[in-house]
Amino acid sequence: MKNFMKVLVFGLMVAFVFTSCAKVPTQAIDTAKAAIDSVVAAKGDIYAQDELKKLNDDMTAANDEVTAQSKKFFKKFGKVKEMLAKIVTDADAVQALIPARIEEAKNAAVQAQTEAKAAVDEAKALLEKAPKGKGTKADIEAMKADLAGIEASLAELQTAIDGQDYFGAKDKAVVVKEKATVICDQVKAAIEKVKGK
Amino acid sequence: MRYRRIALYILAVYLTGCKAPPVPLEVERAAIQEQQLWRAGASVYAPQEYEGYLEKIKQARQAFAKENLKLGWFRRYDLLRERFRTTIDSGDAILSEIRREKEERAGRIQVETAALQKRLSILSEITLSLNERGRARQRLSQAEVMLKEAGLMAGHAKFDQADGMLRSVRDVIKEAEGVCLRLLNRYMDQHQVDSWRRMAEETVAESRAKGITAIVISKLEKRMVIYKKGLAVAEFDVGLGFNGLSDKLHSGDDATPEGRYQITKKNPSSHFYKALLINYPNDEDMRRFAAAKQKREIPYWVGIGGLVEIHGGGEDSLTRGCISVDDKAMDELFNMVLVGTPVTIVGTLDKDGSIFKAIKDE
Repeated sequence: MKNFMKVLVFGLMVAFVFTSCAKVPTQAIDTAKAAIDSVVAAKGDIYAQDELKKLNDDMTAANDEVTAQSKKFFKKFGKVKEMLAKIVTDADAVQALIPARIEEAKNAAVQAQTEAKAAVDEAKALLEKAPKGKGTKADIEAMKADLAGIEASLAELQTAIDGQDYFGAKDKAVVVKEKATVICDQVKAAIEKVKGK
Repeated sequence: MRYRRIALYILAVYLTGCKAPPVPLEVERAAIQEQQLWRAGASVYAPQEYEGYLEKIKQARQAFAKENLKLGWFRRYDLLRERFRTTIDSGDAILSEIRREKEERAGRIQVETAALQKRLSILSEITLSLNERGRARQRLSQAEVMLKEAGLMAGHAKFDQADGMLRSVRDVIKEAEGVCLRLLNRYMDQHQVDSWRRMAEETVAESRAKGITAIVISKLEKRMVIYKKGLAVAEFDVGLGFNGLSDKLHSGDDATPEGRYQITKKNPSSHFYKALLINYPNDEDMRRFAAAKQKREIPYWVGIGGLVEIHGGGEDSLTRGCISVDDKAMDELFNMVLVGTPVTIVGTLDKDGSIFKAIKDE
């Protein structure tokens, strides 16, 4: 009887140890999810796509592990906790990367905007001094209207930068610059046309 | 006894570690492929297939992990290799499908871009011929920038954004069309066109009846025809005012007048080579001007204007309302006309409205 009690107490202790230590780490899961959400909120889906994908994959793997362990009689969540802790550390690291990337994209957009503006200004200056003589007046007036349209696009570019759409802004700036350069070339050609006469 | 222990140890190491088969290459290939699929946007282009693929790869990995729990000596990767290979095949099929879908969308966008580019070119030509150098031209210029942006978006496989941009381009083009059509509103009125045609026919009839020279200028076609005794003897291209398609109402409106006039003075040494002054404003012009003033459509300090001429300087130059021709044409014209020669200026003689069809893309 005494031996039976010993076995029972030991058995209960073992059961207690296994059940109490094998709870699903809900808090750690929530923390990891929150860490990933913070990356998304910091625009990780734009500026750290690959890293965010890896974090999500790791989170999926951690969830799979939780599911796998939950089905077992002797549950072990130690590995899951390690995985979740790593996700939090990685997410923090990714989040730390993002500001520099945003800054980089912003600088590239602003640089492209400056170049586009310079091209528009050059076209404007050329149009101002372009000879409005025979055979060029109509062309010059048309180019002025074209340039006015490009200036409107330049304003949209600023809106894109203000809205932090740096990739879109850069694309727009490249196109605006290209179109302004075409006008510059056309004005120069018109000037040459007059000089040639 | 010691040698036996060493032998057992070596045997244990040999059994547990050294004889593990190499990890199948397919495991690594599957990992790379999974990244490729994600980058290619599988969840957008083939969501169901991608989900199935992810499930398959997950199960294959679980099986792989389970196999790895065994002692190296007992691991068997043959079945796993096959399983990963099947998964990779399905991934390849998804990738091909995505590529096909992307090519199709890119192709569709390219076709639409080309069509819109063509439309922009046509409208650009029309604005030039209409002397429209304001809002329509600006909007077309903006549309051109947007069209190129759409091309860049498609190049980055941002097809939804590119589609949205193309929709905006269409709207902007529509706006430009609207401006052109508003400019030509009067030209779409059949009664107005009939009235212009009547004026031109009366002028030709007068030339025939009196045996004199007469000039008919059609603004929309930018054409001047010289009649002698009712027969067309010469034709010249003409330039108009900045706002040449409008009927002149007052000073500074840059419009070219419409109506029946006469040459009142021949100037052989004008600032614009040679010039023929016409009697704008005539009685009809003065009546319209007075009515507009009464209705306060014109500010009280603005006058009716005058000094409307047919002059040299080039038909491709813009005027403040005069009609310009090439110097060579001016020489010919100057010798053909006299003071008193009738000059009839009309909006259009084109009863089919071909320019509207071009604007409306009919």
